[in-house]
Amino acid sequence: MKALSEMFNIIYRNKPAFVGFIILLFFVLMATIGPVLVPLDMSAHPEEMFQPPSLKHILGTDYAGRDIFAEIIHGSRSVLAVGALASLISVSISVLMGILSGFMGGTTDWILMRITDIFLTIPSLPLLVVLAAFIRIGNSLIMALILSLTSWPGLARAIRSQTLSLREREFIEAAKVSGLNSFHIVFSELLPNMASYIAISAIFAITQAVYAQVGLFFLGLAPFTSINWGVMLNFAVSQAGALYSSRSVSYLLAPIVCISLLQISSILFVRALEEVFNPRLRT
Amino acid sequence: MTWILKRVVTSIFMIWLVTTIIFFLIRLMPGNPMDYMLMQLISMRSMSVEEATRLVQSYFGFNPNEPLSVQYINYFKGLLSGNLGQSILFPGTPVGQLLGQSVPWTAFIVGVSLLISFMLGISLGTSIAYARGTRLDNILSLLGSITNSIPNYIVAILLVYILGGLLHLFPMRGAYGTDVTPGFNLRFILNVLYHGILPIASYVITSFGGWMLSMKGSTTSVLGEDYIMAAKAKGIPARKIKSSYVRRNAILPLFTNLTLSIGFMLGGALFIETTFSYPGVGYYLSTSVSGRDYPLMQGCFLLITVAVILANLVTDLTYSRLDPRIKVR
Amino acid sequence: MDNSLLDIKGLSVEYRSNGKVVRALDSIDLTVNKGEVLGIVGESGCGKSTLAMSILDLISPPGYIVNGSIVYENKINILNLNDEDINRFRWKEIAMVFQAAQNTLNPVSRIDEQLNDILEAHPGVVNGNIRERIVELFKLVKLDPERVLKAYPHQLSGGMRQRVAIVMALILNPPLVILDEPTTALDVLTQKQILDILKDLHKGEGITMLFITHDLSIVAEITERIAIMYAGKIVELASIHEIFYNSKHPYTRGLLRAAPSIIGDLETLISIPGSPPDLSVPLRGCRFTERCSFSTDICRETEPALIEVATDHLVACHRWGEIDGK
Repeated sequence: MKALSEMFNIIYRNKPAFVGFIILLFFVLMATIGPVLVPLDMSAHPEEMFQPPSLKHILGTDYAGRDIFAEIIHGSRSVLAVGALASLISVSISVLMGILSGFMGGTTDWILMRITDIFLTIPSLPLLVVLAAFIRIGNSLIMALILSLTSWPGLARAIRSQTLSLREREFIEAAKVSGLNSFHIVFSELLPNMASYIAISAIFAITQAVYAQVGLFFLGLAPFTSINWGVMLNFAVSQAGALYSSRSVSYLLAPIVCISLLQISSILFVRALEEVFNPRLRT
Repeated sequence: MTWILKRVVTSIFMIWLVTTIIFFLIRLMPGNPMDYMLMQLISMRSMSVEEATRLVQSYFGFNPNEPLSVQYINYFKGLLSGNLGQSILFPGTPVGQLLGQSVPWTAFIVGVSLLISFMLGISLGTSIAYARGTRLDNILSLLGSITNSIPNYIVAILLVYILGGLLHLFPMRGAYGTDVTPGFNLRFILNVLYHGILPIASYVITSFGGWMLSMKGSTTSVLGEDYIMAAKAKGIPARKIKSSYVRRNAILPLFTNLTLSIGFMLGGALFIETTFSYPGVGYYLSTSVSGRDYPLMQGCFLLITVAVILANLVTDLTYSRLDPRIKVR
Repeated sequence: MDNSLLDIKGLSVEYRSNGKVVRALDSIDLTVNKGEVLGIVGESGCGKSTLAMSILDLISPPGYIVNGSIVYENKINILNLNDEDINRFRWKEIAMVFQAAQNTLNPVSRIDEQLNDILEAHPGVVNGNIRERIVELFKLVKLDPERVLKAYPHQLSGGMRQRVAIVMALILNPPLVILDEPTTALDVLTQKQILDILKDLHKGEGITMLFITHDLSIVAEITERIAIMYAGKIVELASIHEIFYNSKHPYTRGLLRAAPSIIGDLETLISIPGSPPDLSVPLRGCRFTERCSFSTDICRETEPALIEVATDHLVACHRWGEIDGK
């Protein structure tokens, strides 16, 4: 409990990080509770298109007369869900690969490390784009899966080296360790040790996933089923010609502001977390 | 010497591996593009199987009906002789030609952006490291963090919209205007630069922060080293210490970042080039994906990946020459 | 005394961080005479390195020189020099061989380039054939100039780097050289080598040396006069003979007893119990009180002044007279 309060203290003292934390919290709330509170009507109302912000439509309406504010709220759920899911899958793969690799050693290690190298070398965005072309991305889960494919290698490497060093220590301390026993040790000692690093990597993975998915949707390189900030950007540019006229300013700017704020606040927050876990970084 | 050899061999191996993966990707992925095309040609254009097969073969560079091993060999034969198939979206144009046209543009944008953001980041980073704890440090560091977090395509959209669409200060698409004739004349070059400003700005704005903060950290730790204190004791002027003692040492760790950046930028070229309709490799990649132009897609992907591998190799080799402490194993 | 090369008066240095203020040096008075080898002995944290850095005005935040003067050749107060003058003064008049010289060389620069940096920073100081002088110095420290000049620091051993540091210190022919723990972190054989070189240099070139160390046995080899430091203050200052055979301060006694002797009978080593005081807390009385077996009430109350109790023998202890000389 004390550790938690100290952590909160450090974040609070770091003003930008604290602001980031609050904004992040705000978005999480938006994604979870928002859609329940604000209904979304995706049917077209051409008579109401491009209306400026008003009491009825806080951010105005888009090219089909739909409420932009509602689209933002519901879009946040898609963005964060995919991001969180991708991060979860990515971290899980990393941890699994890392532990297996460091623990088993030998050929398994060599093979797994080569696989990691391949994924590290192939640039992730082009790979994503190509995969998106071949695989019918129907829902968020598949999207998240594909996104996670490109972000797991980094963490896997770190976990592997930690596992290796732990294995060395255990080997020295206990001459005879039964297979099951050391596996258990890995879980009870290694993971808590790396928990902070994993948490930070997880949040980074979310930002990476958000960057990738919004970009893919924006450029129309991935099909979408539900409203998403990237989708809004795509519509704004392609359907509403937002870049050429000023009648759909809010349609263009609303998702831009949200995406930017989300990324900025996540990064600021993660930087503060890094300071929390690594006192050397504190100024 | 052997280390250099090892790295080169690894790179070649990687290139081979990637091309093989792409080969299997095309053939084994769900929604096999060649079968799809075959089907389309047969049903919609009522071609015979032989005709369709020959067409698909010319587009993709190999015959889909032959045994896998033969295809594989032909595939490589084709690659090594520069035959990457024919583009579907640009009928009659070999993929190789399209790639050849687009590479200089991507190289231009990525190269200039990397150079500017690196140099800007280095000099700013050194300055704020020296001014650690001051207002300037706090403001710039925060600014750097913020600009680094914003996705580069977002900045691209904003720049296109505000500076292009609204204020009409800069062109919104293309590598050069339609009223200019390509060639080594000043007018053309200026036009190219004019068209390149917004894409380059998108990159630079979103990446200088990272370099700046890395350099700040590196310089700060170098400043605390004993040899800096010793240099001061020797009466060596501060300017000389900053350049020969601090900067030279502080810059070294950043070279590993350079490797990552190149990969990231080449990958990110996808987003930025498409936003600006800038005819680089990334643009062609995304167009080929949208238009299901598989041969072109394959070619672009291959090119980008090979470029990244080569860039990493070059950076590694250069770094080993810059840091005298690297023991060439 | 017109024989003095360096005159330190009332030097006090503080380190401030996180609201805490540590008084690392407190009113240090010390004179270095021309041509002598003065040793400064004390355990880690006693302020000896801080003293060395202050002499070249190298103390920077979070350290601050809060008081005192350091006068060179009875003319120049080093602490009052402006930036330009201090750069010219440094190394030309006073040079330094740092502790753990392995870290005091620029890792990405060759040795000859680094020597060149010094020469460029002090134009006109070395006249005549520079190359000859360098070769001469290298010979003095028993290094091969051909091999070492073109090398990078990491290609040389610790002992070699230390010797390079000595060459660098001597290249401008400074009248005074400060050596801060020059042999720590080296193996015993290399230690002896370096000490021999230093002794030769002193005999041959007549350089004045300020030799800082925590090791009494080393100091016996090379110095003529010794200042014993404890917790930021000088507690005893006397000739080497007086220190070893007639010391008057309990701390000095403790140090002598704690150093093993390889000749003579096997005596029990008695280390000084306890640890140095926390210098961030304002201290009253003698700083050695807690660990001193002779301490009494007056020791706790009043700080003892450094007084001359015999010719050229100064002690800061209330009970110096009662401590018999053995």
